[in-house]
Amino acid sequence: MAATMSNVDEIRNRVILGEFDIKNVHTTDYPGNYPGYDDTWNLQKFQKNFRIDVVQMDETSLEFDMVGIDAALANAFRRILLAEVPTMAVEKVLIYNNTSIIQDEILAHRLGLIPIKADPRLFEYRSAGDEEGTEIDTIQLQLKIKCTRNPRATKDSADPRELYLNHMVYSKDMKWAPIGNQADVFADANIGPVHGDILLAQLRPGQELDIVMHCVKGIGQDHAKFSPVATASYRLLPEITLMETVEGEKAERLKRCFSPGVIEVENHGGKVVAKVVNSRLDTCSREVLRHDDLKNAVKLARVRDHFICRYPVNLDITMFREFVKCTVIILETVVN
Amino acid sequence: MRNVELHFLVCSYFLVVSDQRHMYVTFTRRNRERCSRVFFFSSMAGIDGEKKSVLEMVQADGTDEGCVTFVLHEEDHTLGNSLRYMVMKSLDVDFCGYSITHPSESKINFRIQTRGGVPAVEPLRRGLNELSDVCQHVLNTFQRSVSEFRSQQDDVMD
Repeated sequence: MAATMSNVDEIRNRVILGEFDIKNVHTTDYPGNYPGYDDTWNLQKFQKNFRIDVVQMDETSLEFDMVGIDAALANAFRRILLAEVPTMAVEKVLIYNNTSIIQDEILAHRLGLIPIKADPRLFEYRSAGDEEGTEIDTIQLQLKIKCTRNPRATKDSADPRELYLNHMVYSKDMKWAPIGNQADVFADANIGPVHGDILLAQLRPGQELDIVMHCVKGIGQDHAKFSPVATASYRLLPEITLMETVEGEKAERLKRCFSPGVIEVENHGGKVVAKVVNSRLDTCSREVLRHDDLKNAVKLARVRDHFICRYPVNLDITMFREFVKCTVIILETVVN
Repeated sequence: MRNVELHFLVCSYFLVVSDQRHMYVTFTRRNRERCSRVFFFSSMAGIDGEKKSVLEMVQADGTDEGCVTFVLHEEDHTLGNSLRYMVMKSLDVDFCGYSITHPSESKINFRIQTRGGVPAVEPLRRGLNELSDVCQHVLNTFQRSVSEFRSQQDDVMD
């Protein structure tokens, strides 16, 4: 654990977190920079070193590790996920009747931001200048709701939930109205909003909403409502090395300098000694460098080619395959 | 698609900056899936679809083919940085860099200077191909890891 890497390896592979600055940030392993290292691009070498480990995957988020790739490419994937993976979202809102207190444009804006559960691979982009929309590029949703007084409410209740029916308009009230042959093609896919509990508007008796919405396919570059991810982020894997043994009361203080679970204090023959258990959990706050007696005992670094990516997503996880396909598509178009 | 290839080769005879003559490769960037189909039509019949040039080459007067600035339209850091990395990894590139001329214009100036008299188009083309190989490999690895993870989860649940 106290063994250090040779200087050159450290410059090539680690980003050092110092007290006042961060060193070795940029990639330097280009051919010719280091005598004795062959840094020319070699696909076989890349394929041998590259791996992806999925840490957690469920309906709403995906977290995985990409090891052996450069920051330029990892960032390109992140940018593509945010801006160039297509989804379906409400684009045109035809308001036939809106007597609620929410203004038309505000309501239309809110409707546009609701994530729609529909596989964009099954739809085409709408052609420019096409106002109506056809069945291959448009999904039609309808929102028709009227608030009335509840005849069965008790005389002196003040709770709106008892007094009124339909006074809260949720996204689950948006119903799919299939056009053309969509009813046959998408018979088993229930097209609609992903989450049914998004509050759109509040009504009082006599107010109603009669709205037809057209959803089209778009990308995040056009409008953020088309972005499939809530936020796409990655961080480098932290690496904490103890340069000397830290024991006793200093070990306890060292443990408190890091996020919980990173450093454990163990009992070795009567003495209490600190040990790094899981540096992945650390948020790299560099708190330990604020303490003069502790700062020389620890070396903080990040592994340059190990990316921990977290992508919380609004839609089905399988869309994630799409992001890399998009990269390949984009590249092929440029190559050609 | 073959029409495209020829076009590109023909207009890789770089243009003198002073003249400002450009040749355009016709392309419809919007509908990427329909790209090949639409492209074929517009190159055959010369119909004016959406003619936007995707790539221009600008080269200073008097220098050899090795130092060229490519202007890539409708691109940003996504392609710029990753392509710069791939081109820098090749042996015969002396200098490679990109810049965004102005944030409100979506185009990048991508400059390659080669050593050994290699025409600059070659590392560019090679970099693009290598980039697409990398992405294909990442996609395969990702799909494999996801299915492994899924089957692991199913095992745990059973």
